[in-house]
Amino acid sequence: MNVILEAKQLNKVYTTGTNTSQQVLRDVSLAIGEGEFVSVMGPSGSGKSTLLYSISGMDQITSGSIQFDGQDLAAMREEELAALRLTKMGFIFQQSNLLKNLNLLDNILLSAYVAKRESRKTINGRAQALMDRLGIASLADHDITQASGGQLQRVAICRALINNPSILFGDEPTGALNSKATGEVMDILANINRNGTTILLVTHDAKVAAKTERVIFMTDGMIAGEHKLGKYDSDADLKTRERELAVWLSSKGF
Amino acid sequence: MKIRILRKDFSRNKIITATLFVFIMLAAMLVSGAAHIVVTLFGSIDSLFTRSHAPHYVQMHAGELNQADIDAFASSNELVKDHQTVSMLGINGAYIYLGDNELSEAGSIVENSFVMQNHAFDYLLDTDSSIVQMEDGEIGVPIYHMKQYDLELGDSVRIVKDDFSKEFTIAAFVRDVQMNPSIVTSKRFLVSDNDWTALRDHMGEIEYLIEFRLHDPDRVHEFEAMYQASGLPQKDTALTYSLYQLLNGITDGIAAAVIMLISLLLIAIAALCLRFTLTATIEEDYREIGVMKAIGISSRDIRSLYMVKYVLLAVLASLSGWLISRLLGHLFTQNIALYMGLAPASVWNHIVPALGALLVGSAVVLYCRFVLRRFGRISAVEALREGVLQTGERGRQAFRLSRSSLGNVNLFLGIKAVFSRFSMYGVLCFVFTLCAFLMIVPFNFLNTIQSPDFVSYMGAGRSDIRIDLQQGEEMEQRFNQIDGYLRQDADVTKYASFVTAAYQAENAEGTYENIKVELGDFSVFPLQYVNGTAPATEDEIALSTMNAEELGKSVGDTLTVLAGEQERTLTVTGVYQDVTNGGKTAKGLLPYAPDQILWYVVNLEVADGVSVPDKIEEYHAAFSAVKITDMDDYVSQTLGGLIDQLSLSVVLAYGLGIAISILITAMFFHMLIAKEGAQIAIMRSLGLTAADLRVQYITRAMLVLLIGVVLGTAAAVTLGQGLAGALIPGISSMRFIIHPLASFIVSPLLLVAAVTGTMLCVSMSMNKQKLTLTAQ
Repeated sequence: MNVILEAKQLNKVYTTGTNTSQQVLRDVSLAIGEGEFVSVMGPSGSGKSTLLYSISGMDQITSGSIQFDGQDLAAMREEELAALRLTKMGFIFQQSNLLKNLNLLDNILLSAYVAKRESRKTINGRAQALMDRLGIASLADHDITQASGGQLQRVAICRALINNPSILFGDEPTGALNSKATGEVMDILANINRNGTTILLVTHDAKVAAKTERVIFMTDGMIAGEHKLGKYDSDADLKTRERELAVWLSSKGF
Repeated sequence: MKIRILRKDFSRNKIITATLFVFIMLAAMLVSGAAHIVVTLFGSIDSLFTRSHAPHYVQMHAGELNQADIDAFASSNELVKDHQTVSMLGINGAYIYLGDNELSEAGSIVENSFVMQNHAFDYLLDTDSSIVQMEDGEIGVPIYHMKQYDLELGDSVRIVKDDFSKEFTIAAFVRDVQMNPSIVTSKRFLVSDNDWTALRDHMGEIEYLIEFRLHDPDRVHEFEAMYQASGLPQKDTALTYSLYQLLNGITDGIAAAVIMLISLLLIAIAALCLRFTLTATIEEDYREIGVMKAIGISSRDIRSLYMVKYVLLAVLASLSGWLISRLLGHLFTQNIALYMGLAPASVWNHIVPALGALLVGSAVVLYCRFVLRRFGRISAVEALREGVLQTGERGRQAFRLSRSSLGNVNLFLGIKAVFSRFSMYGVLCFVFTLCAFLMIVPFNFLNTIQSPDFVSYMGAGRSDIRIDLQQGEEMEQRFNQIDGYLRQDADVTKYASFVTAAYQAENAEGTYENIKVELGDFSVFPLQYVNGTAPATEDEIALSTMNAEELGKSVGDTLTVLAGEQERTLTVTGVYQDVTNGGKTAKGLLPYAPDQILWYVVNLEVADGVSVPDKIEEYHAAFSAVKITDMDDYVSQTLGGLIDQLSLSVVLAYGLGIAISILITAMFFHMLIAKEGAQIAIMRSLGLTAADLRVQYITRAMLVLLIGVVLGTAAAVTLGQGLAGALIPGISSMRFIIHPLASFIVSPLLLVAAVTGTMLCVSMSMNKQKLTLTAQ
């Protein structure tokens, strides 16, 4: 399996005052293979989100190196990183983080229109197809105030996928959803992964992590271990995966 | 609780609070200052009129008069309290040299007269507002000349004509209730009785001011009719007490109005800041407000918690503004103090400016109450559940990215943002409109009155040279000499001579009043008429707008005019604008007798390649006692004071317009970018660069600026045009002579450059913004 994203000896220190600093990542190294579905778990303040934002180039690291698709993110200028986020990366956050003054369809279209890699007709067609696939086609013209949290998160997924990214980053993408919506969103992500998109998500929910292929456990800014669950195929073996993961997590003191 | 909220608010909005304080303080200071000007102006005019014992009715007269007839009229008229006839010795500017000037006053349009101090009333005062007497060899110079040439006491004034020469020492600068304002082109110099007689023996023409003081000044119009029906001398303009008041007040009145306008602008800016901070505060404290509502605190009580800060701010800022205006009071009234002297301060001098500042403070508090009425609409349940206030954005459905044909997404987002929340951008737009208006109106006004075409507002057609021949010995003979000379002059391509003669016209009340009618061929240098055309036959007449208004005539009406003993009914063929001769003139082709002649004017055009200044020099040598003016200078000389003031206003207006644009743009977008931090972070996380976002915000600023500039320019050429016209008596409808490059290109470009530069600086903050999004 080709490695799409590789981080080596990542360190991240936040300086909060003149003499106060806090190290959030400590010599973190990891590799994500192409087409993998990986989750990062850990207690609050363990550095999960910081790791996600650092390896996606959204946040600067203090030391270490990150290779994405053969490119060194630490050496890239801000414009190059933006172009990378626009064309090769997709992001889903805990909140849908949609733009307030655009309707749902326009929120999806925005980054593709900015990237200008295809005709608007093609982009519109793909947006329509994505919305159909995620069951929100009828909401295209709705404002963000006219949709539920689960629906908004599906819009956020469509937006993340509109430019056919190589990798999808998720920061607690189901954190604000109820269990039904969580299940639906995770099924959608699993489907997307099956179609070849690499996914790395941060979660504190073991049921979510149980649907991913590999689980990385972090504590105190370091990787405390990882557990391979294998590809998730159907709900039939979900309970088994959840139990397996629970045992492993409890061995890590979680 | 109130103190806690206050402290929290001050600490999180330090810069905005300080800026708000400064704006409210400046607005209060200016309103207070303008009020101070107005009160002082009234007091000073009143004081000047009292100390100088201003005449209530003055009939100017050039020519013979019989004093006994005037005395008899005055003693038999019960309205008259006192009367006198003042002899003014009009001396051609060519013979007058002021201070160190090597050039005489020949080129000046000012008509300089020399007088002795009066004994009964209409006194000329010194700068201490005392009645001043000149010793032999001393001269009292009008304040207008002092300002014009920076003259000082002890400087000299020389009068030189042929072999006669007399040097005076300036012993005083005189305040003259009749001729103080720069808009009045006649000025009086004060000399001793002996010197006056010596001057009269060698030069000059006598013009009389037949002056009356009445028991009841309110009956001056009744008296005016009586005088005009009396057959007493009236070969020139008649002026009344109220006109003197108006003329004395106009310059500073305009200054007060401009200051008020500026303070209005500052209040608008303060309102914009207030709206922003209050909205942001409500959005930030949304959940807390919900909690307060949920536990039963009323909207009114919640509002009062937030109002404390703004009431405190308004009170302190207004108080500071008022105090500063008290300290700087002399700067506001410098011009009044110089020209009219300051009257002892009355209670109103303290009350009215304080009321002005109070008004500003109250406006701020009321506006806050208006904005905070939103508390009433906040639902406790929604606030607790949502935690975030959903701002009502319109136009979301009207502008859809999916249906947009605009290729650039950033431009689209910029435009959409403005139209979605136009109520928010409206205030910014209003400030830009005011800035554009502020910059363009004075410039266009200046350009208009500086343009040689402005001559059409002075009741004359466009020509190269104007020759004025005033009353004097053998006037007709001298005119004929000029006429003959010009006829022979090969350099003159065309010329037209006009004689202005005195007639009487029947007014709206059915009584007769004096009217000056210019007679001649009006087709040579055609004049632009507001309505109708020039008179073409002896039975036709055209009236200046002021005359048409006063006589109640419009085009097509008839006017009865007494020409000698003969009554003629004339048809009004046209109405034109004229700021000369108090704005009351007429044009016709009537017959006239020599004793009706007031003055002659000759307009001429020289061939291409002929130097106008050389020609003027040639005519000065050839003709005696005439005033020869290059028409390009005529307007600027006539309205010199106004042009100087306007030139300064233009510079100030441009500076102020640009400074305000920069300030308001910086403040508005600084606050907006901070407020939209989450939305900016979302876009950047999607891969939009800081440059993309900069384009979006600059598009917003440019769109609002564009709308503001278009509205401001449209208002400038419509409202501004009317406003400027109203400032000059005699102009009914001013049409700006627009400098297209300056008005439509340079001014907007200056604003665009200022706003773009500011936006680039302000949007730099987006580079430093964190992209990590954990919650919206």
